[in-house]
Amino acid sequence: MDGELSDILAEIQKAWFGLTGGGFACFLDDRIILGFGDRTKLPGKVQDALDQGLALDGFTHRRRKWWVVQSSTEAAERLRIVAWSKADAGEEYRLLLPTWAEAISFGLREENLGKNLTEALVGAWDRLSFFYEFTHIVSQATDLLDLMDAVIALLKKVIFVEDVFIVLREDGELHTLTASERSLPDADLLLSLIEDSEGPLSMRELKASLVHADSGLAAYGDLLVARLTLDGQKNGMMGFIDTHPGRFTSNDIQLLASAADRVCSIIQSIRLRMIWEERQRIERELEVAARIQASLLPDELPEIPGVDIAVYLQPARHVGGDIYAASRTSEGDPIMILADVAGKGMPAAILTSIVHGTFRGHAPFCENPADLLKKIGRYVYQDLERADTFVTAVVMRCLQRNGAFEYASAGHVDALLWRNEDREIEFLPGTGIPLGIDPKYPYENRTVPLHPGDLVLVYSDGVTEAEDPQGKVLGLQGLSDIIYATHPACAEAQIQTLLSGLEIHRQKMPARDDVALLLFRCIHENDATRTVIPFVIDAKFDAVRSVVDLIRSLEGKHLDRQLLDNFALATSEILTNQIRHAFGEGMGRIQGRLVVEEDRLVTDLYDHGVPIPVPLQVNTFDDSEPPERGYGLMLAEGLLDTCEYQRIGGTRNHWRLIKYIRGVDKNENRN
Amino acid sequence: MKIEIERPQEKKIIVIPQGRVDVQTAPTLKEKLRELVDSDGLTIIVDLQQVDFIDSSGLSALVSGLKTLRERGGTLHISQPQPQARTALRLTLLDRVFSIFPTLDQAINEGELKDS
Repeated sequence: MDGELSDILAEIQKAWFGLTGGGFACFLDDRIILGFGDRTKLPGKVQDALDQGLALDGFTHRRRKWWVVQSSTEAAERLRIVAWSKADAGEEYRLLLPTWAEAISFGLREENLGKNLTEALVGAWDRLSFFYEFTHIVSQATDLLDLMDAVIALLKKVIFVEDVFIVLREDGELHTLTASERSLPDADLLLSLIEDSEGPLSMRELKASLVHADSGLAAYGDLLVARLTLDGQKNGMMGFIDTHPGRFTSNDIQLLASAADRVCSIIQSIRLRMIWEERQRIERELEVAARIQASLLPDELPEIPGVDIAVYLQPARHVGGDIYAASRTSEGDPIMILADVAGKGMPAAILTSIVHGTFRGHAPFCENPADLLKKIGRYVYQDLERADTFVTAVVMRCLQRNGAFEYASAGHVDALLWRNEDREIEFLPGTGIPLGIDPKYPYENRTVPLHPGDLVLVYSDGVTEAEDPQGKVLGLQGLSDIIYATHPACAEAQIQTLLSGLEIHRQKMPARDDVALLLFRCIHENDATRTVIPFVIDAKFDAVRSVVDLIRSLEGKHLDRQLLDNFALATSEILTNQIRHAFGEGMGRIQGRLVVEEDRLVTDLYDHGVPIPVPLQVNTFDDSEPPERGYGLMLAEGLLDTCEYQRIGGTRNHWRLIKYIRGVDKNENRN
Repeated sequence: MKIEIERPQEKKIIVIPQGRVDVQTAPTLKEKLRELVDSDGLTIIVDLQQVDFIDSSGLSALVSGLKTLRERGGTLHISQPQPQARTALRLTLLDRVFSIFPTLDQAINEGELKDS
């Protein structure tokens, strides 16, 4: 065999190994001219294919894929290539095998040994390296058009054609790239001609149409074009151009078809990657933005003697339009703002930082909330107007001197005021229009005297407008219900209960708006001698356990296991009764609080269900005919010192359960 | 709730619920008892040693089981109730309805030593 041929064969073998991790052998009749020495080690099916002169396309045997390819050239029909690869590789390179088979068989004809053979094999080799480079380029590409430039330059080099082109239609616009950087005439005409063709078309098929359309393309010697189908849309093409008529062979058609397939999958994967990378980038930026926004929150809440304060802020997305900030007035009083920029996400977040900065910058030069709100209104007006939005805000302070709450509100939702002595909820209305409408609006202060046990809850509309799956909002009623039960608890516990109430109300619906809560509570003399644990539960039987667990978790000090078990049982009986009768096992919420005092345990339960039928009667029964139901109230009555029910305001059920700790246990001594 | 079943003698079945028998789990116990009553003259012993909390729904399940058994000439005993269950049985006067035994053996042998 010609030395040059065997060198090239060896090169091909090496290249195939490099690409697929597999091997490559050539047989002429039974004689092996390249590759391993022992034919009997081939899989039986491969040997059969060799014996019978059959082709084998991608047959898997022992985690390898096998191909048997026979040259179609008449002169060397005795030549066969056996190639194998690792099972997960090779498929994309199998198109090289017929080309090589042909090239090798061509070379084996004696008269062609030499120059022609070398050219054919070099061509084959170049095509091989094309795919190799192709893969390499693709893995590094970040820009689609740059990538396409690299691909056509590579194709041109490999195929020895005068020009290679790719045309892509993006957003209705045609982007034409050519290796020569010459323009491609009538790209849209060519695109329409190739549109319905399955495989590539050559000048032979296109000529008549091009001449008919009087296209400049008709002047080319040869032309080969394949359609690019992206995302199921026929929106591009690629092809080769040469001045020599009949230049392109069936090999070139095959190569173009395969390259077009590749280009499609590359474009799609690049697009996906770009989308993904863009999302990642945005995600990273949003995370940074969220950290920045969170860092704007004051590290510490203002300390106001006699007032317990808690705050909570949660954007619906990474960043939000709700903010809270604290500073001091010119007189040294702590002053706070809770604001809500209309809109959500990044645009709202950017504006919150403007409001925040203005608040912080002006607070030390203002005497009272209205003063400061007017300043903020004036300074943020232009930015808000330009952004075509507005901000609602409450600026507030607790006056240490007379225990009053002073605020000015720019169109913000009414704050809620719990009057402890009257056991009533009032609402504190706005004192002006939202910021961003009138830069000179004369906001006014309003002062509300506060007494021990009173509380003020300032919040954003994301709280009251939280929706359940049926689209029903929590509303002022829902908010009031929770405060009605939680009011004697510390500010932080109340905020946490409000949040769990919101979660129960939403029933797993995601929050659609930012949530901001700021709660002031005037400390009450009873606070020192009792522990108040507020809770909200879904009115469902499986939620009763959480309250039982809560009561049982208090074990220790003066509360022993038996006392707590009994109190938990009594409470769970009333809760079960409430769920069964007030809601008929339908939707609802039960708000409550557990109060641990020195000498007693108290549970208060509130719901908005239908009234419980009174009087509540404890069953008596004949021992031989015990009823199946009705033991709950017997247990509650027996375990508690007080079990009272009342209907409040015609809308609300209230249960009060009391068990004295040091008192005489009437039940334990009954027998 | 996990419920173990043992059959120490013919016509005697021990039912051992574990954990809480409350409004959430009582229907399971009730259903289990109903399933077990497949012949006449059975005695089912519900052993409450591993029940640390029983509420009125749990008691209802036991009463329901007793009634089902009585209809077929059987009965239901309770053994080893823990302090919380003892209080619940006493306050509902069900300690007068069920035979309650301090040990499982006594319940199986229907000993005369009734724990009241």
